Amino acid sequence: MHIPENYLSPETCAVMTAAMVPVWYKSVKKVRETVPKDKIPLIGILAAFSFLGMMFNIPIPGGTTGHAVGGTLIALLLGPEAACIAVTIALFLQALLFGDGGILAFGANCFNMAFVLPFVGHALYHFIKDKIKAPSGKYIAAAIGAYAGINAAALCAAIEFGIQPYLFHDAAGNALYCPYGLTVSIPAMMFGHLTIAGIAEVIYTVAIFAFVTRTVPNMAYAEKAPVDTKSLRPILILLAVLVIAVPLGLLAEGTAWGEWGADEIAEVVTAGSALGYVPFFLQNGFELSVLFPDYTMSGLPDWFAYILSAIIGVALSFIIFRLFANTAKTKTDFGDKDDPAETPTEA
Amino acid sequence: MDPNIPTWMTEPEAYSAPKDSDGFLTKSTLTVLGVLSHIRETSQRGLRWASPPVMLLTVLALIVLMALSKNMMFSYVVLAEVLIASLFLSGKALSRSMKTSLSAMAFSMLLLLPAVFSGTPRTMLTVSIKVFISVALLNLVSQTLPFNKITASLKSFRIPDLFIFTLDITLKYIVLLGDVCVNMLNALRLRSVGKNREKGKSVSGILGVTFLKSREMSEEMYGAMACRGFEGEYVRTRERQLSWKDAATVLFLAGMVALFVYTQRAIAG
Repeated sequence: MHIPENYLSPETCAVMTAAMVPVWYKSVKKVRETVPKDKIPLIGILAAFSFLGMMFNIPIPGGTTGHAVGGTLIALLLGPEAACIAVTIALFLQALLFGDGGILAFGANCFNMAFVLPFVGHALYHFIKDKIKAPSGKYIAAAIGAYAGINAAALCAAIEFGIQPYLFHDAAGNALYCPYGLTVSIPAMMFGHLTIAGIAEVIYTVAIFAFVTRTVPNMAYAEKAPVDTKSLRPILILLAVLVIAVPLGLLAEGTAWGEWGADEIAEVVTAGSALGYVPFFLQNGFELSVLFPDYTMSGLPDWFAYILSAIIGVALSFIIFRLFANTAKTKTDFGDKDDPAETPTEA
Repeated sequence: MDPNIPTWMTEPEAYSAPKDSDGFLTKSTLTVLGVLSHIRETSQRGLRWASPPVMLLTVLALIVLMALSKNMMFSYVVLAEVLIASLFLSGKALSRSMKTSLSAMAFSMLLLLPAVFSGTPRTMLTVSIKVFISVALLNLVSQTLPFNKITASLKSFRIPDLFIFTLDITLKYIVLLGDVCVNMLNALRLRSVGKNREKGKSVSGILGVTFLKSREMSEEMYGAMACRGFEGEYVRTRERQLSWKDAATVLFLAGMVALFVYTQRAIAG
């Protein structure tokens, strides 16, 4: 679902980024107000889960691949605003270091996966959770929320892809950016996400949600009790296992729908016929030189490079949120709120 | 009323000093205190993986190998390692380490900006990422090892005593003279009532006094050390045998050397 560079016109990218700015602002503000300082690093741990989830590519019939995002999972544990920031950071690392998702399309990718996905998933979870009285109710609600979340995000991505050929084409009618209209992009994206990728997201979300709520019951931000490092150990072990297992994501051959490189797109067969040309800007557009293009490093075996990428991504998301936690102030209530000179500040 | 008290003393007075900006004093004090607290903090830190000489050797070896390597494969592995190791730093140490590493990286990116315009943008990327890794590696040492352990481990690398002596005294004196500076800045602030336009002039005064103080102190200290039998030679008390942590670190370093050889042969072949 990562929209690559040059599939969206710069105009579309600007609009999507502008739409994200207030969301980011609100989210950061809300997280600073509601999430206690000692729980901010947990956002980093969950961002790492999201990062890893997106590395497990799963083959979808028809030659493309899909993956889980895990945005709903974070929203269930730490709130949709924290999920928004966590997925944003995961996407940022992917775009900047690994070239997965364009840097210009960053705003659009964030809109789909960091805004629509967790907020839809979280809202639906809360709507359903109270309706089902059974003890497994919250897992069923989580499953439905995750499924709806990822599909809503895929639909947004499909619409962003689909409007491109109507708006931007040359005199000959050839598209300048994404060449597929809404009639092609929506069925193609939704088929993958309603089936395989949606199920993957449900399994990923529910399995980790159940694991976390059982091993670290006070992880959720509503719980006041602080999380000590020892109780996090099972979660960190799970992360390490996932890191070692990421090469499984390489087994899925083929490229995700809408993520072909300029060298592939002319041969892609959609609705029975190959495209036959390369859209102008796909070949001549802006390209950022990244450290590890497509999670590979020349000279290193693919599986090794994939694990190394996972380690670097996970470690960076930990570090970013620990630095973020350092800037947060510890709230201490000294009672007297009338005297501003007495307001305690802590470094 | 007592006729001995002059009249001006009995009159009530409501003096309020005009507001004065003391940015210079505050800023100087904070800077000095920042350096001092950094040194004092590191002298209390306990967390470390191996004994100081082994750690220092590992870090230096990794930096040299990375500089020698002709491709980025080796550097990426070191990058993953340094990021994981940084996670074990305390919150404050982590932000200090990242701040210095990232600013070093930003600086080298600025220096290498011409490479982008001359058509080799990857050069900027690879060189500055190597700078980031090297500075982050050094920070691992400086943020976890107290300064006296670092100077002690220099001895096991057969570094001349004079060098160690100078380094050791310098570090101690940064703390002592910093204290002197802070005290004088505080005194200046307390004595400045009302508007004092010439605070900037006091810099030379503070520096001058600090210099005089340092000479006095160094003479006294050398005398004290000589009285206690110091002849300019550092004697290092024999440390305990290599622990399993040291052995593991040395093994790790051997593994990294092997990886280095492998990656360099991979590019040749």
